[in-house]
Amino acid sequence: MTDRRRVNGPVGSTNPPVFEDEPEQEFGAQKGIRTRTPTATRKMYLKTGVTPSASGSAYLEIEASRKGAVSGLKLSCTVHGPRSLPRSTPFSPHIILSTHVKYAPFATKQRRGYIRDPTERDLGSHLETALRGAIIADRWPKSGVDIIISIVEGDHDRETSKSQGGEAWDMMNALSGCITVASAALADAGIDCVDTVAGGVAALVRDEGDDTTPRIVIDPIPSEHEQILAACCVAYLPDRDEITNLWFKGDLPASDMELYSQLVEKGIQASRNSNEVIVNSLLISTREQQPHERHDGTTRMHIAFNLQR
Amino acid sequence: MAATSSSATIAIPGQLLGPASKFQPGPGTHIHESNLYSSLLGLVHVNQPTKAPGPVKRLNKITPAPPPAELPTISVSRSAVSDKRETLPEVGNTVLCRVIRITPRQAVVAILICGETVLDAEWQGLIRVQDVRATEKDRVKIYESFRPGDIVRAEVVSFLSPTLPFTRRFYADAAY
Amino acid sequence: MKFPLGSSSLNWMYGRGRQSAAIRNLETHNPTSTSHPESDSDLLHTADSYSSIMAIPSLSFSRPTFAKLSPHPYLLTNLSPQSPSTKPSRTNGRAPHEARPVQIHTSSLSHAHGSALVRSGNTTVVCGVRAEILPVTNIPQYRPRSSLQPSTTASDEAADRAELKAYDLLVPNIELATGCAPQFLPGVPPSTLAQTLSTRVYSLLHSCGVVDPKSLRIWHDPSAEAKKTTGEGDASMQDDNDDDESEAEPPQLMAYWVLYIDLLFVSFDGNPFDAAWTAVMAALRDTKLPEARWDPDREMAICSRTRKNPLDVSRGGLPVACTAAVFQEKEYAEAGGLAGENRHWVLLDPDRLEESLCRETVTMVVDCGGVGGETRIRSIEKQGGTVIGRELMRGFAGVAEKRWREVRDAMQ
Repeated sequence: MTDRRRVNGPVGSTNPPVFEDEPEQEFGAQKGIRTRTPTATRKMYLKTGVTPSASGSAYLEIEASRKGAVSGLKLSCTVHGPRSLPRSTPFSPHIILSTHVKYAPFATKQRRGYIRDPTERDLGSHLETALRGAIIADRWPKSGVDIIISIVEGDHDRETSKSQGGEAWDMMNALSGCITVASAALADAGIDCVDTVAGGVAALVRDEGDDTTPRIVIDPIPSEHEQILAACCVAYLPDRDEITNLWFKGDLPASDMELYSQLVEKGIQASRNSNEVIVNSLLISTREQQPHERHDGTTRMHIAFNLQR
Repeated sequence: MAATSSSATIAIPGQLLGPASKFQPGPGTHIHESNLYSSLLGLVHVNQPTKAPGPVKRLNKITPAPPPAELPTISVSRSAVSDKRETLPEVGNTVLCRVIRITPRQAVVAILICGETVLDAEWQGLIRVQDVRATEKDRVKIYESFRPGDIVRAEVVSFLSPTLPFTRRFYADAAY
Repeated sequence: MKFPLGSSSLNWMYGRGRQSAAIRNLETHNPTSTSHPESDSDLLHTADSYSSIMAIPSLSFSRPTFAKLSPHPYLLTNLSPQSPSTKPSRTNGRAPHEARPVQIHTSSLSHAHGSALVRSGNTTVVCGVRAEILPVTNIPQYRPRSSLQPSTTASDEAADRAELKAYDLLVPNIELATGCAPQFLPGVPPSTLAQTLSTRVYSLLHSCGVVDPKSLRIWHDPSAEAKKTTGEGDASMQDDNDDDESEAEPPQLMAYWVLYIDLLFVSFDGNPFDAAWTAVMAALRDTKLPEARWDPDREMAICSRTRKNPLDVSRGGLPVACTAAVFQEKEYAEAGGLAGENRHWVLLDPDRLEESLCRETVTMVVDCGGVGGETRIRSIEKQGGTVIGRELMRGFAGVAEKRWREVRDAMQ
């Protein structure tokens, strides 16, 4: 059934454009090989206070790896609250989180609908777990807070035709970005947290050419590798040294526990990098606001942090 | 009056502020494993207790094991770095609210301003008929005291009761 | 008119810079005192008996407190300053006819065929245009076009527009429920405002004829196909070939591009329509469609990865929307009252606070880029209120022209 509250377009179904196959070597030249070191994350841009009407907000952009081929991640997060709970809600001695992650219709290779799909609900519930561990919930009794993330642009490969279940791996990168941006927005909203939580992804990959030993890289881009064997996304509190959410996916032998812990260790490393970006961004925005000047929101600079060390 | 020595140090959530043996936790901080950490993004303030010895090197002036009341209070405040801050109404706070609807037993109000803070979200409160004034309580009639739309200045008398969400003791009626 | 606490204690002070001004004529804004005059004495009694018990602190409020408690008088005192030397200004510091500057960034999204980010003060909107292919076999009531001549006559142009509308080739949708403001939280169906905005953009797109349907058609030209196989090489399939078909088989229209125009509000601070429309125009001007050719064997359109054609939006000119709201001195004045009794201000590009206090709004869509710089009014919409009449509307056209130049400069 069509939603009569939106403009639905033509009755007949439309298809996304199908592209002709390019000659092999041209495509091969475009296909990315990871140029970063295995322990380097991509550049991030993080800015708080982009939505002045919200209690707190942040915008995160992860650079595109190569021009035109893979889009970077662009996330906008708003936090509304703490606000009083609706009258129908039963008494709660602590703050109630509600998270909402939505892809924009133009965020991915395929056009997305306006109704949330299971992927987005999944992201939302993972995000809630990750943040719940960081928030001091009993500081705000009888209150609720809404955390809303719009994925303006997903971390999707635009060119690659082979899918290899790339969607699932892309989701990990998206979740990691969501955790990072939400953490900055929560700090901007002034909601008590024990630490600044940040997300990080590590993956066990096998590269093209060498079929000997898989290696672990952080902040993986699926299209840059021949195959991703396993990946994990951690939400990590660096000062507490605690993991609030761990999401593991893949196909690993149960015997090799060492590999699991290595993967998680690398995920923590990626998360530390993200955390550094959050801390820097928060410090800079706080210094900017210190001279009691009201922000007009029109002239805002982008702050870049280079994490490729 | 307590001397206030404030430094322009910016704290981020999770930042170590000092040992719990030397400071008292103020607003915006929390204790973890006998250390004080910031829980907000804001500026660090250290409030010395009565008659601080001197402005310089305050950390060294503290005796190793003083009674808790003499410890300086460390707090993190957002007021200097953000004009938006939500506060939760607390017992004893003076609030300004608007009457939304009245019943014979109580007036339902929306709290607009808590202390000096303009609230973004609307918190609901109740003024029960017995809380309207201090004397002749049995002769109070809600509809004679309030009309929807009135701005009321009130004091928070209860907050955490699950059955009575908020109760206000009315003490000034500014019929707007 | 009496106040329970006495007017003197109701000194609604607020600072404006160094100055502070008391609000005048508070009683005229008192909604309840006019509706229940008889209950005043009761209230007075209650308050009097109480004030004898406890000293009442003076009621003087800071500027944000005043704005929160009574937004209407707050805006009014800003607009009508006490001293004649200070100019009336709005609570956001702008003059009544001053709009927020517009910033436009295009081509920032890589999955969309055209995109724009428009920022006007604290209102930020992202627009992405995505093209998908609609084969004519999927159109239930498709009528093949016989004429392939370039449409020059007025009737052909009308037919073109009808084609665009009949097959629903433009699909604008506006998403407000992104948490862009506290009242727009997600998880709910589109609000009335979102639906209204989508519909307004939809009808304006069609009435202005912004998109040329010619650039949305995908042709199959068997003769050119034949030429290509004999080694002619570069074959342009998509353009409206008007000279090189006189072969046995005329080109056939096989499919249309459908433009999904999705708008996402990142931040909302009033005047959503102007920002949304500017974003739509900027994104459409940024749109590049891949060159498509019809593959008769696979019965689908195949697009080129490298060759792209910009979408033709030249025919519609550059319509720019300009919205203003009318603020009236009396908050609860009867409709149709004399204009002289109730002062009013026309506030251009209203923000969130102003929108909530104004009932009358007017939107004028103008295009000054025509031949000889002549201003053409493409649309006028006015809702609520009775203030804006013929004279004001004429003056408003001049304001809209100024706005058009600002937006045009931002587009370039």
